[in-house]
Amino acid sequence: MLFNSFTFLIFLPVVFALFWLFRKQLLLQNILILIASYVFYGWWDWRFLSLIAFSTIVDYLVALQIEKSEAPRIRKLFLILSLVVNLGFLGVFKYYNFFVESFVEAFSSVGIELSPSTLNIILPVGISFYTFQTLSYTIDVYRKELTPTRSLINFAAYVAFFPQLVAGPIERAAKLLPQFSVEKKFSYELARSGIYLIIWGFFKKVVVADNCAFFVNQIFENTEGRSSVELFLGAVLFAFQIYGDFSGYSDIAIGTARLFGFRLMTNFKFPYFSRDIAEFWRRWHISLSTWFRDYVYIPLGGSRGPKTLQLRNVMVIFLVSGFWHGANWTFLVWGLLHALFFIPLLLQNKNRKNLNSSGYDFRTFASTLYCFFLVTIAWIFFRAVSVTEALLYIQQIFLFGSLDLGIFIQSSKYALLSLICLFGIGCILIIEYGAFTKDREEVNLNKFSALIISCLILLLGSFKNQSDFIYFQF
Amino acid sequence: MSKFLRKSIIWTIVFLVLMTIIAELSLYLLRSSHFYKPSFVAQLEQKDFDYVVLGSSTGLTTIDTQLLDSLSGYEGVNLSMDDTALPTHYLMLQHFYNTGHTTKKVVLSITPWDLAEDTPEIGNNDYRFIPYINREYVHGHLDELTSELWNPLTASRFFPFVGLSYYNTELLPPSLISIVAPEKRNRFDEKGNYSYPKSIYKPKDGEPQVYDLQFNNPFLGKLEQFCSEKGIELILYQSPIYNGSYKEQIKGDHLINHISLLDSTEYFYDRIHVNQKGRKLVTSNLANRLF
Repeated sequence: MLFNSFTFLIFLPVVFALFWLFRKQLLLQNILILIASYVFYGWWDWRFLSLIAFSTIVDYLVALQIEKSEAPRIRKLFLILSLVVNLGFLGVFKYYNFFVESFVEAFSSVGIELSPSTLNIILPVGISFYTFQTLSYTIDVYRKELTPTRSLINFAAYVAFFPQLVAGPIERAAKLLPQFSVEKKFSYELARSGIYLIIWGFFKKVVVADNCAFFVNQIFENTEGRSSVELFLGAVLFAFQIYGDFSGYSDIAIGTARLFGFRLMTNFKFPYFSRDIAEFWRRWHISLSTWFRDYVYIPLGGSRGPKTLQLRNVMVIFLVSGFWHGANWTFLVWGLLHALFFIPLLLQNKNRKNLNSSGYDFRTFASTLYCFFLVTIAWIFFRAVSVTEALLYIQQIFLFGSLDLGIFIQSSKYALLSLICLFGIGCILIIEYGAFTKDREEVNLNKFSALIISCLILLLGSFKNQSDFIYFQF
Repeated sequence: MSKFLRKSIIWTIVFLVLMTIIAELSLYLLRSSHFYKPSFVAQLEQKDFDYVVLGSSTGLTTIDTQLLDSLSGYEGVNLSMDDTALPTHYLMLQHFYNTGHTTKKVVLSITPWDLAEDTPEIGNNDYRFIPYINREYVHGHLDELTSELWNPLTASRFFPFVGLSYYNTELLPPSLISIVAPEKRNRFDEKGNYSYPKSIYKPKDGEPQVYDLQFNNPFLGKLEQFCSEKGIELILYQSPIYNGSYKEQIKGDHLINHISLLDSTEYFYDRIHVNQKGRKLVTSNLANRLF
């Protein structure tokens, strides 16, 4: 089920009403959340519910076994079992074909022809998200940082919690799971802020991301004969498309969770105002970057030890992060580029320079523009079908050929859509700049601004050319 | 909780009322304008015509009613809309009559693929009728064509902002334009015609296309019935198709077949549309056949 669907418009109020009808009956509330979450996920393809259910049961039992046993070897064995099951699913569904095809290509380049069989499989929506969520649970239990829950219902509801099931934020068990054990009291303030976040999330998705997608899809699908300006603006629009799409989803997820009295972590903190790549990664997809920090980077040694080791760790974490997004070399190059942008900061010990958002002046504005430029160049690899196409795309931009606006003004309809994109992006920048400079976690709407934004969603949103949330494919 | 529900309901109502006002205002402006064909038709001062042309882009760009009038001395108007099919032509004729107009003849521009369609759907440009969605013949027609529980066009009857939102880029700017230029038309002249530029068709492959004419579309029957009830003469007109022909020779008093009238690319804009030169030639020929 999509947030931006008519079905969800019916689903949410029904679940909301039932949930608060069961007030003071925690078990019933959790069962309702579980059923609603499975319906939400099964709406897309019910067959993949078995994957979530299996993963849930395995991690639930493994965690209890880890806690029960004192012997480190046994504990480790159970942890490995959880890793094998979860990463196994991920490997088969997401990476199997990529590895097979890459091997075939590698052998083919030295003259050996192989004819292996690839699997004709659909990637289950959100598999990377819920897999990481369950993994964090068993790892935390293994590290004795978390006591495993005895309630299978609570755990299953935590894994499948519908607002954030398919595209995050990737919630840690330590933060979200205990919330399933606490009796919920309806908070007017929390619910109100949730509604505002949902509205803002929809604005970013429907007005900005989906309208930008109209141009981005056409430009990236056919780069031939396009001017440098068209290609550069295409990349800039993709930067805002993916931001509007993904942060919009996160905002709707966080807002929806608040309606049920749950607090989810902030996933995006105005990343395009970042003054360097290190700051960008403290503000972009925070739940994933902190996951990698805690479960990959720090175990590797983190920022301790000699610089060579630190460089290796940085390289590893960015490459793994790129690979998490998808089984394609384009994502690996995207991760590699971010590593290369980050390393100079690390070498100069400047990677923790911009920890808060105060003191914004012209110089910092220039840094922001430079950082956005780097991020945008990297996005080209993220969006392109292949590395070669991405390189050609960048080459065409920097040939500085024609400065024609091309597609953006090719007809009155296109010019109008260009204006809508420009307006939407302007709204994001203005509203989020206010929140950024005040070091807020999220935008601060009031009832009047929420009303105006709601009207703008209907008047400017792209409903006819709706696109799926980009991060569903991950 | 009660405070939240109370405020949610109040603000939802405020939002719905505000959007309804915006939508009604926008649709009113569209109704008062000449921008899209349905509004243009409703605004036509002349009530009784000798003939009207119905069709999609082929009808719109092949038959020049201005030239036809000057050659024949009769009065007609082109009601064709691009990117439409028989159901929309039927709706357009109903709309023409329901806005107080009459005609003696209907020249229906047909295409083999449209006639063969046995499960017609809502047309891509049917949103242009949204300003008239409260009229029974418009809502009933669109309702008949959709099996969906929720369709933005039919839902517009009860929630006008739904259609306005779904087709926002198509409806909102024209309604704003009509505040300052209510006479502005969307790519058609004062007689309802549009012509493609003078450019000459450069075929990618010159393979001849042979069409098997099949009358499967239920809306042809509806059009025939409507015309018969109103005493209108219905003439089917097949416009030229480059290198096209019918599988079987079709003859009849009420069918004018121009499919292979033009054999040179210099008369075509693309395979199924004539250019200005072709349009002139076809219209002259049609004047002799029609009257």
